[in-house]
Formats: sequence, C-alpha cells, structure tokens
Amino acid sequence: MDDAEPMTAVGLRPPDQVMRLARLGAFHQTRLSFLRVLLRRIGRERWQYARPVFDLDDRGVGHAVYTVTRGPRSYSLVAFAHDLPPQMRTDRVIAEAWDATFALFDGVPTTTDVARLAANVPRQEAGRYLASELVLARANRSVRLFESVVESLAQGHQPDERQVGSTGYLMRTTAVYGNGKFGLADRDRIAAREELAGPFQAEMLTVWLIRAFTVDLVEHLARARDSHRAVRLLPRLRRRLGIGNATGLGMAPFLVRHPTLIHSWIAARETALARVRSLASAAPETRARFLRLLPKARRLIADWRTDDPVQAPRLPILLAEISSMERAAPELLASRHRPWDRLYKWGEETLSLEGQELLVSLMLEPHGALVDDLAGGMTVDETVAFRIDGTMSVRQLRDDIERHYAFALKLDFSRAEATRRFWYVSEEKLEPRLGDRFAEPGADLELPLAIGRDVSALHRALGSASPGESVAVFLTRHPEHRHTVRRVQIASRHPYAEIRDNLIGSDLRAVDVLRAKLSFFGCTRFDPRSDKWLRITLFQDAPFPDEIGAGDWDGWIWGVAESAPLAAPGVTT
Amino acid sequence: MRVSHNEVEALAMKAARGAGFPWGDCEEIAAAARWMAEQGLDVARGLCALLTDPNRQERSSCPVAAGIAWSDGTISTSPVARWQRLRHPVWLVAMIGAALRHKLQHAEIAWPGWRIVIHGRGWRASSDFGALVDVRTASDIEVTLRPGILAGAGEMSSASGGLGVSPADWSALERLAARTHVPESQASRETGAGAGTSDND
Repeated sequence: MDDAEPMTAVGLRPPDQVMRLARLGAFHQTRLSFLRVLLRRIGRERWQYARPVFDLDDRGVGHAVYTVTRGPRSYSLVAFAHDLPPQMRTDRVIAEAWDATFALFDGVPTTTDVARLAANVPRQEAGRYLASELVLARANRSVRLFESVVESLAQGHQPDERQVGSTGYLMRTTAVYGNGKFGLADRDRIAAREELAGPFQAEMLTVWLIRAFTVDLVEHLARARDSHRAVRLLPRLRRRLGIGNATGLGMAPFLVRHPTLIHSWIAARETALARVRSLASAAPETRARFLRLLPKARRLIADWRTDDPVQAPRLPILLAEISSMERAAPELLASRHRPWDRLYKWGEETLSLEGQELLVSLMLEPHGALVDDLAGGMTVDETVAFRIDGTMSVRQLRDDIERHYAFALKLDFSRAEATRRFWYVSEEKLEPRLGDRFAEPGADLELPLAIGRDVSALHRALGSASPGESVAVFLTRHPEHRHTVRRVQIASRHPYAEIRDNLIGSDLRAVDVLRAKLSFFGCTRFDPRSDKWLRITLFQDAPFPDEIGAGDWDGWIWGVAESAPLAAPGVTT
Repeated sequence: MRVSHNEVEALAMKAARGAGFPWGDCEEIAAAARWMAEQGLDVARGLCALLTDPNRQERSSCPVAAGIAWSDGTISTSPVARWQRLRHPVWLVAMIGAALRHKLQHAEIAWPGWRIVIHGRGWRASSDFGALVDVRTASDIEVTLRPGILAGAGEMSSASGGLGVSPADWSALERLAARTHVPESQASRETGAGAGTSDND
C-alpha cells in the first residue's frame, strides 16, 4: 500500500476485514472525526467570536448573524428563523418549509448581502447563491423538547435535565449543502485555506454555529414570553444540547462515488490504529487516561436511545462489553510487549463488531500526539486518480479484479435476491432512492452504484478478450465497462476505496453506509428509523463559541463531567 | 445566470447520460466540462451542441471517443495523433486538457485555421479561444504531445466565482438530465426513501 508506514510494526487491518458493511455499520466517532478536528483547531487557535445581529421578534421570527474570525478571515452564519405551522414540519428532503434556514457566508455580510440572502435562503434549493456563500442548511424544532425548554425557562426554572440529555438537541438539521450546490462556492475556493482544508470543515462549522443559535432562540422566546421571570439555561444543561440531524439515502451514494476520498479517511483511521497497536509499551498516564474513559463511554452509550430492531439489541451488549473492557484492560495494558496490540486482539476475539470498533475509538483517544497529524491526510484531489491507464493489459486488469474484488466474484448475480435493489434518482425531488428491480419501474435508469455486479460482468468480458490486449483497445469494443475499469484501477491503488459488499442485494441495510460516513463526521447516538434513514446527534457536550479561550476542546465528546464550565457563559448580545 | 464549476460537472454527467452516452464516457465528459468551465469557456453551449447533435452516436467523428482514445493510450506511446474529421473539436481540446491536469506536459492541437497549445491548467490559441465552442467540425486534426508545461499560457480562472451561462442552454441540459430521473410512484414514495415512521417529534 502506498500509505504504508515503515515505522509501524503492526500492519494495517486488511480491507477485506475493514470494508465490510457489517463493520462499517458499527463504526463510532474517533478523535480524527471532522467535527472534533474542527473544535480542536478553534480551541487551540482561539478564534474570535461575535454575534453582531440578533433581530428576532417575540414570535422568534427574524434573523441573526454569528461570526467567527481566525486571523484575516471571518465566517458568518446568517440565520433566518421562521414561524412554521406544525403540519408543515417534516425532516424529509421533500419538505418545502422549515423552522429555520441558514447560510455560511465567507466574511461578514453587509445589509445588502443579508437582504439578498433573505430572499433566497428560506427557499433553500429553490433559491440561488453566490460564491460568497459556502454552505446552505436548514433545521426543524424537536417537538419533544423545544417547547418544554422555552416554557420552563419562561417560568423561571431549568428544564428537566434527564429530558434534555435524552433528547439531546433543540433542533435537527435536515440538510447541509456545500461544494457548489445551487451556485454556492466551489470547494476550490476554500481548499487552500488551512482552517477549511480538511473534509467538511465548513459544513461542521455551520452546524456548530447553528447549535449556538438554537440555544439563543429558546432563551429569546422565554424572555419574550415572560421577561421578568425568564432565566437562561445553566451552562451544564446547555452543554447537553447538541444538534440533531436526519440523514437519508441522499448521502449514501457519496461514499461510493468518491473512492479515493473514502480510502483516505479509512486509511487515516487504520493507520492511527496501527500506530497505537505498534507501541512497545503503555505509559502509565496514557493507560490511566484510557481506563478513565471507560465509565464515560458507558454513560454515553447508556444515553443512546433507539427503537431500531437491529440497533436496539446491540446496545445492552455494548454496555456489557464496556464492563468486560474494564475487567480485562488493566492486565492486558500492563503487558511488557505491545500492550495496546494485546488489548486490540483480545477485543477482536471477545467483542461484537460494535464493541471492537468502539474499542478502536477508545484506543485512539489518549494518543492524540501520536495520531492527530493523520487528520491532515484525509483530503485528496480526486482528479489525480481519475485517468484510466489504457496501456494496462487485460491480464493485469483481471488479476487486479481477482485480488481486490474476490467478494464480488463470489456472489451469484443470477439470483434475483442478489440484484433486487436498484439505486435511482427520483424525478420528484432529484434525490437518490432505492427501488425494487422486480416490482417497480425505472431499473433501466439505474445509477452506476452496483459495483459488485458490474465488476463481475467486467471480469467475464475480460475472460473472452486476449490477455495481452491493452485495456484501451478492450474499451473501444466495450465502452459500457469504462466506469468499472476506472474503479478497478483506482481500488487497486487505494485498497480502502471500495465497500466490499453487495450494494444491490435484497439484504442491504443502507443505514450501514450512512453510519460509516456519519461516524467520520463525528456523529453520535445513531438511531435508524428504518433501513434507509436515521437520526443522529452532533456536538452534544461540545463547548459553545462563547467559551473559546477556556475549557476542554479535545475530549469533550466523552462527557461534560470534567470539562463543563461552572460559571455562567459570557453575555453575547 | 451564474453557476458553480461543481454544478457544471454534475449536470454535464447527467445530461450526457440522458443523451445516451455510457457511464464511463459521461465521467470523461464531466471532467472535460469542468476543465472548460475553469478556462472560462461557455461550457453550457458546448454541451448543448455535443449532446443534441443528431449524429452523436457516430463514433468515428465523435470528439469524446477521440479524446478517450488519446487519453487512454497516446500519452505514453506515440507523441503524435491524427484524426480526419471530428465534430465539436472543443471537446477533444477539453478532454486533452483534463487528461493533462497533473502532467508536466503540454499538447499542441492544430487544424486548418486553428492552433491551440494547452496544458492541464492553461492554454494559448491562435484564434479567439472563446469561439472554439462554436466550431462545428474540424478536419485534418493533429495533436502533438511535448514535455514541459507552458510558460506564459493563459491561466485558468479557477478561483473565480463560477461561470456565466445562458439560462436557455442550462434548461436544455436540465431537460436532458431529467431523462435519467425515475418518476415517483405511490409505492416508491412509501418505500423508496424509507419513510413510514413519524419524523415530527
């Protein structure tokens, strides 16, 4: 592998082990996850924060501007709050109105900019944007929590702590768009800026500022309801509020369409694990930090609620496995030879996939100095690997397929169940969907995401070509295999590029694909609502923008107990 | 109207598919379209011409097939390539440009009346480069690959705020792209995105 590290004594886990849907669907956030990378930077570099505009009426309708500044550059969240009738509230992408809509503006917007945004942002996809806007987003209130928090604060008391913690957010984002959508800035515009060069940093910044807005909004509504009695949220409770998110199939094709990018994410995570496993010994302080994490992890998992028939039964098992870790880890980590590797191997033999992957996250946690630099390698220029090497021989391409796509060659695609699903784009909302090939129309318009089936077909076609023929000549006869040839060539050089499972089988759980991606974002509390969409939480327990300059901007995700400020937050109005 | 380079690339891919190109060709067309947008060429007009050409399936005069053949083989085998006649030669130019994006090489593309030198991030032309989009056919085309990038070539406008295109062209491309969309049925509404549980809580 071209990313191999000569200093690493323990090798990377093989792609056949890592890139299976069952394991990807058990991934948890790590310290390399994108929102954690962003907050570490903001805390370390002490970005400046201001809220120059907060112009909302007593119903909470109006707009606000949140600005962070790093050196010569500023980024501003422009938030528009609306009065949405309850019957219009849906998290699905088919919605046409939202409780709040947002744009991340590159700089500090003038009143002219805000007026232009006010005419477009509330319309979301139906609006048009300029390259001065980096991200577009929207959010809906959590019916469960929003109103009860407003009412408690208005009456002068704090909301129920348990309810705040178990819901975990006041609003859910239902879409966060970047990279040129609807006229927004192309990624090229920000790719060279150190602070936004990492994957999805502008999107994560947007969501973090939206979270601050949701708290300001409930405090504002409480004051409007009863200006004499109303109180602000206690800092400890405020920290318990993250931001929710509902994610559906629209996100799934991304992982398949960006093979070199996905390789870079997975390779960074796997390299981090290999570095830790390769350590000759475990320093007492590192060991102690790891052991202190385990009860925090248990509390985090205990807060994780889901009714999903697959995910729900995994959670009590995971809790029991954390107890096993607590019993086994002290002795394993006292070992004189590669203690972290011993712990990992124990996990592989003992724990469920959920437990194994949580152990990976926990093992990386006390090793920031050893692994954090890997976050810098999670961005790639995808055009580099794009060009097909037409001089490769048919024999070589066949060999590469046999080496990297054994999973596909083992599948029997003549079985209806192996090809029952097809991915398509719906006319109504221009979003990716999954259909039943044998029961619904549209399979002739299938998206090229049936990788296993297509590679299997390519392998067959190559079998009837002369082994010495060049791929270029083969493709002049078979242009229909061109996209698959490109994938095979990319995957041969980027071993973690490919999900090594059938993406069109009747047993596909698309939420596994979504979870893998969301874990890299840094999401927690995965709550599948069907096999095709799920809810998650971001930034729960994270510091707020008005806390820059103090507190823990690194380990916050494992719980507030040790890091929450005791004093009231600074007044930001 | 103003569109981002990413929108150009995404719509080019779908419109090319809607026009009947194989997926792998669509990817090449999308990459070439982005290169065109980066050079400030009117890629929407260029795409409309390419994708609505009634002879677009004719492989021997297809600039996409020519660009693919060049990109797949020529770079490392033979320095000179020739074609007798190609439609919409801007697409050959753009596909070569996209293929050279990360190469320390440049290509000279010439036919009677035109001489264009390009590398992955710039160009130099004997005629008005913008007019290249409107050239319908070219004959006796010769492409020569040379080492080194090109000093003093026009630089691409990558950091720009996108590209201005005609709304009529853009709509025509959206109509082509719409041919790849599957109309919603009641069944797909209920199962296709996995709704069914309440999401207003």
